[in-house]
Amino acid sequence: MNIPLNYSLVSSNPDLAEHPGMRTLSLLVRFALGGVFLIAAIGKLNSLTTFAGEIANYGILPESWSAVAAVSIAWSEMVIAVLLYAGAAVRGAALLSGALLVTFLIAIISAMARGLEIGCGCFAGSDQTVGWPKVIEDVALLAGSIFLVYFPRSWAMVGDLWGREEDRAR
Amino acid sequence: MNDPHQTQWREPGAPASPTAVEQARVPSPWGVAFHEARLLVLFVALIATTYMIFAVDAPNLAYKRRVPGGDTTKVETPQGAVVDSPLVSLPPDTPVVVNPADTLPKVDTVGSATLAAAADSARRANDKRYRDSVEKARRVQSTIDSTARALEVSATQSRLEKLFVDNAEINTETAKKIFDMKQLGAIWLDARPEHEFDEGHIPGARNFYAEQWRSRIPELLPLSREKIVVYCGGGECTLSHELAEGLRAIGFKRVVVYTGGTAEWSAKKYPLVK
Repeated sequence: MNIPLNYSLVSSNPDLAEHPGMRTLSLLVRFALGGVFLIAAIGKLNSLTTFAGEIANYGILPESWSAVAAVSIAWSEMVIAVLLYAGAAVRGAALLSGALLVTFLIAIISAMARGLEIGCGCFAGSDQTVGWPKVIEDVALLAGSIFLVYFPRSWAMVGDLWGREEDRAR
Repeated sequence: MNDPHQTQWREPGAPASPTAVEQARVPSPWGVAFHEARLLVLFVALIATTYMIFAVDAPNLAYKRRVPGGDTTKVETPQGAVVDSPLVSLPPDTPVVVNPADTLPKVDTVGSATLAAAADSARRANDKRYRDSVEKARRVQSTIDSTARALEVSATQSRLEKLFVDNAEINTETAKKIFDMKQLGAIWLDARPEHEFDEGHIPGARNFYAEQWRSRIPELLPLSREKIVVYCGGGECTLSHELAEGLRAIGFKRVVVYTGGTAEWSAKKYPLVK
């Protein structure tokens, strides 16, 4: 069987993204991912100094950059959460969340490789340390982000208010 | 007949795939995602920068330090550290030293003896007011100093408490700070055999040989909520790590390992008792 060079799951099944089941799944993934980032962002914004200390514990960035990194990550998570819940710029928010998760994975694996037993800094008030459960959790969230890049269309999207068609998967 | 929309992988009855031309026009999902993400990154950078500049509770940076509630002044603590301290204004009833001449009665209406007595009285009153104002200023300065010391101690205590939450490994300098800061309430456990413990141990430490900790779990469990510092001989000795692992396995959440052990402790001439 000949497979064309421009084959992709989405473009050769344009109706797949519009299938009600797929839209429902996309909605669930959106809300789940948005919820995780919302809770993380609120906790971090309430205790930025502690979060900056947790970033410094990883020993990857210079200490003077910890504060900037803390503020940037916390607000990124908040923006991602708001966009996912609103259903606006879903692909961009999913890509940004994927980039953050990849960064977290690199930091956690680096800390594990160096034998550091430090708090992961994922959620404020949590004493979860770096380890394989955290890696698996982040990989699952990353899979959700990649899914949303391919299937951003779901119900209850802000773009539907003015009939935006740019996100329609072809 | 050839159907221009029919491709060789299409099953009969299946919907038509987009043609190559149509497919070339449609942006890929990742292309759209990158485009949107670029704008989001700019947006987040703007929010973060605004927050760092204007938020009072933004994390401290080396070049920016704010004290909520007002202006600050640099104060040097007795230990030589320079900290910010709120400006303190003197109470409104602080006496002001006045020129004695202002209190003297008019010369042309009073005799010289009365003048001398009045001048003497004014001078004594002045001296008293001066001493009182100096004393008040000294008390204010003392308040500033003690506030600065308390802030410094509080910051140090927070940093040390965080080490316990993170179950960190600590060096000799940090161990000494924890040892000196009695208000932390840390409990020291010596993981070496009893005969080594008897030869010399850190004051206040309790001996729990790492090879036998399991048999003493009933003694350890009451300490599960405390801050624990575990040490052994230092160097190649791994007993402290073994004991710490065991404590964490039975639910201890605040255990730090002092890796330097008695070797580095005694090298620094810190106290050991038999």
